[in-house]
Amino acid sequence: MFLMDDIDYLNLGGFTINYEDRVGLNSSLRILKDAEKYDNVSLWGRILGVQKDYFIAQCWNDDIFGRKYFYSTDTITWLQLPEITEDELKDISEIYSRFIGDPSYEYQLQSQIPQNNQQILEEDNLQEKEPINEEKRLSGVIKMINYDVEIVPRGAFYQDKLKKIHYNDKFHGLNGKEMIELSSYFHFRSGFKLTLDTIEDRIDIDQSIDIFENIEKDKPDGIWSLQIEHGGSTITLKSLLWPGYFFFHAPRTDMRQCKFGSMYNGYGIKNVNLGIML
Amino acid sequence: MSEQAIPEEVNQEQANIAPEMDERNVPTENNGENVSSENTEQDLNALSNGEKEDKQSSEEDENKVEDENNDDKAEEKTEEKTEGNETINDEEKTTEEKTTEEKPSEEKVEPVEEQKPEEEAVKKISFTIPRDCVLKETEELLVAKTFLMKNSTKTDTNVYDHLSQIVMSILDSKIDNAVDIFETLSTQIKKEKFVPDSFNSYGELRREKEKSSELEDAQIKMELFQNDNEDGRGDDGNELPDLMSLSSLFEWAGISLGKEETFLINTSMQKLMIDKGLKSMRFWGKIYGTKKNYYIVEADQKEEDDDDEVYGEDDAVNPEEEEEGFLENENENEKENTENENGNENENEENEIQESQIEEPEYPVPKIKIKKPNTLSKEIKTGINKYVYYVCNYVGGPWYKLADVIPEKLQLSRKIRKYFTGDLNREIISYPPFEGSEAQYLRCQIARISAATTICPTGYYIFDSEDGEPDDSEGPQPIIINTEFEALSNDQLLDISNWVHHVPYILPQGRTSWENPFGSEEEEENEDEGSDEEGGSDEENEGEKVEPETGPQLLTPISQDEENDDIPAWVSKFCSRTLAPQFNPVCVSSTRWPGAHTVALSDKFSSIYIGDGMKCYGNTYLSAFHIPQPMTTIMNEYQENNEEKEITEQIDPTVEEETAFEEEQAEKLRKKEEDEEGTEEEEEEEEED
Repeated sequence: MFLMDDIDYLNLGGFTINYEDRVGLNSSLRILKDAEKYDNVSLWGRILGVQKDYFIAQCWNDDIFGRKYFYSTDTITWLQLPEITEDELKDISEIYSRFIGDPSYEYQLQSQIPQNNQQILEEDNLQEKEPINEEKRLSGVIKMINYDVEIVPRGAFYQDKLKKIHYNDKFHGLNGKEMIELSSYFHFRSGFKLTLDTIEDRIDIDQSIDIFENIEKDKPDGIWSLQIEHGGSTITLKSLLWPGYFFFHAPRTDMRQCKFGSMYNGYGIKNVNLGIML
Repeated sequence: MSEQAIPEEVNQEQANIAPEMDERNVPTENNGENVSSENTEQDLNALSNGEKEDKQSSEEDENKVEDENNDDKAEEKTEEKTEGNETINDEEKTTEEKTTEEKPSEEKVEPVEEQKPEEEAVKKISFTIPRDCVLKETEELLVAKTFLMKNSTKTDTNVYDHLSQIVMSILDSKIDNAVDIFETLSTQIKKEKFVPDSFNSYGELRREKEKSSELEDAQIKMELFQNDNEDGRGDDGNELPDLMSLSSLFEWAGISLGKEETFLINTSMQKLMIDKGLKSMRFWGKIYGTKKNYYIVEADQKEEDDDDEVYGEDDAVNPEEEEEGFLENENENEKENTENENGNENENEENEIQESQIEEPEYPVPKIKIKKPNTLSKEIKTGINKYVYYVCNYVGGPWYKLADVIPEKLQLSRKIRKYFTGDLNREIISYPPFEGSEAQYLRCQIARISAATTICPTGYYIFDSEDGEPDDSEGPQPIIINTEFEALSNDQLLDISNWVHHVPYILPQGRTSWENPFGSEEEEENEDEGSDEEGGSDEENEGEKVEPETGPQLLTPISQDEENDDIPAWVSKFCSRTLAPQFNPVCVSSTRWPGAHTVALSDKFSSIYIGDGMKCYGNTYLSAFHIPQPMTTIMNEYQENNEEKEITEQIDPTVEEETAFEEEQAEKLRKKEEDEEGTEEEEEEEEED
């Protein structure tokens, strides 16, 4: 998620949103917010298809982990993405071809290729499943990306006594030492149990902001590429597992505000060869 | 009388601890162990006593008995000690009557004497306190204490130390009304600590260090502006692209490095051109690495520039052999095999040198039946190495020149898949072993991407008609810009059959023009040349001519490129949905090399690559997985020759068989002897007769 006025930081990732799309997004997202009655609407990312690209918007009211997603190929009309089941997610995770750009395109799944040894029962089961179309695949891919690589800096979100997560308006950014440490960035996903094992933990851990898992322990080593840009004032983090996920952070200084944001601009394909490539 | 106007939050219960403090500075420090400090002992004791007393108060009722006993004496000392406990102890039980003017140094003397009779009792109690209790202080207390002892980043002191120093100074000087001037005392102490120009001092030197990397970066960027109009600007025909306007084009396609950064790249490229005297250059693109990135510039050199430090040059300029022990081909008459990429020209000479260095083995070694191919020579200044590439890690940084492509390396680079790290000298460790630096790998990838994705509209280039028929020329056919080129309309640009490759295709052997790795036929038979292992498939041709590899001709339309499984190799689209055609750029993107784009608008077009330098092998489930080259087959056992049955394999006889055999032998011997005796007797008999 990021704010549209931080678009210039995306250039560090090598991509940008052209002016036509910017205008379209600015307006249509505002309209979407009103039409669907959400409190928060922002751009999640862009998935590049062969014929067309999909812009993905995320909307949420109170529960930031219960976001709904909308897609658009032309930044004008937005369509909601369907929810998908666990089984479908499993199937989707096995698709490695490019997105075509046509939302109704149906995928031939690896598992659905009939094998001679299969029993008749299994074939029947397969036929009952609805085919995975591109919309569902979008939904699944977004879910996977969010779970695997969506990150926020430490301190940007805090948790109140009622365990509710809020955005920290007073966040000034990480300081110089913390910026370059992977442990200052958290996976933005629910389900984190804080472990206060050692006294050291208790001193360093602030229970209101250490509410997520940090990315330091992600395997394999090197899955995150952290680079310092602009001479040390901006940090970019790129995921090598989902190439295209791009996160930037510029702490507050005398010359500018604190900025951070992330966007996915890629093909929506997981990098399964990560292990041998590192 | 409280001459020491110290806030008194003394616990009666602390009293019993006082005597312990003096004599058992050591045992009380088991609490202090957790804390690394240079604090005065008393402070430690005070704190630990505070902690202890928390525990003890809750657990030991006996202590309360002792409290009353030690009230008078102990409280004196605890008053001072509890200064340190101010923030920690919440229980307040002021005993204002009991004040003394005893200084900490005197504590040890007086109370000891006074309390001797009671000490032992107290001692015992403290000794009987199980160790657990002592350590089991409230965790918040320890957390808080540790937090207080955390050193400030600026000054390397902490609250705990500072407070204890203040207290010490107050006690030392016995100031009246110290609480009123507390802040002044604090400042004074801080001042005393300040030593200018020392390593950790609270001085201005510190601040500079923190911002230096930003400052450095800013300075580097400023330097780019300095070589302005000094050297001749109107250089003769030096071609520099107009990066700024091209970047607007690319932005339409969603590709951008940022206007500011593009501008800086432009300036940096200009500087490079002037420094190296390049004829023309083009911004090739950016490759992302895990630690650092590469900005790559493609340049056409004017003259040979040997002074440059080149990255990725071969190690073996003078090809000494490096032994490869595992190679099975050792031959007394032939040269030792090497896996070096040798220089082109001197192969024959080197091989002759090698002959003399080989020893003759004692046993016959099988002769090599397979003809090993030669090293392919690099194309120089033509074909794949027509341009020279310069890279830098960050804008404004130094430019590094990359060495030319080595054909074997290019073959290997097709088989591996490794991320770039940003360090040109890093060795690539992979299977099949690349055995080269990242600079070589980078150069190979750049060559592959260029050859596959640099395209231009039809008609922009035409074949140079001076050289006669295309078949005769050795290198790839030269092409020149068509001066009569007319810009294609937008619709024509959208059609990918109107785009053609203008960089020659790289053959599987790693060159753009075919070279027979086995040399000519005559040479093969006469000279057994040293050989290098290669990925070539023509190993079994003994003296046969190898079929030349061919690829698509230059200037073939990209629509004829092989499809990427079920999606086309190239995709073109308009960048905007609403702009009028004369302003609407067309973007042609490759699906095989994600990140390679060419954007065109009327007569302007340009290619760029922004990505991680990896190819996309296909669009199916299976092709997503990089399947490395299978390992070589395991060598066979030594095959027994029918003629020489020196080594045969047998099963060892079992013990029974052996003994049975031996008995047989023994019997035979016996029989033999008997027979002999028998014959001897006969002979004797005969002789007698």
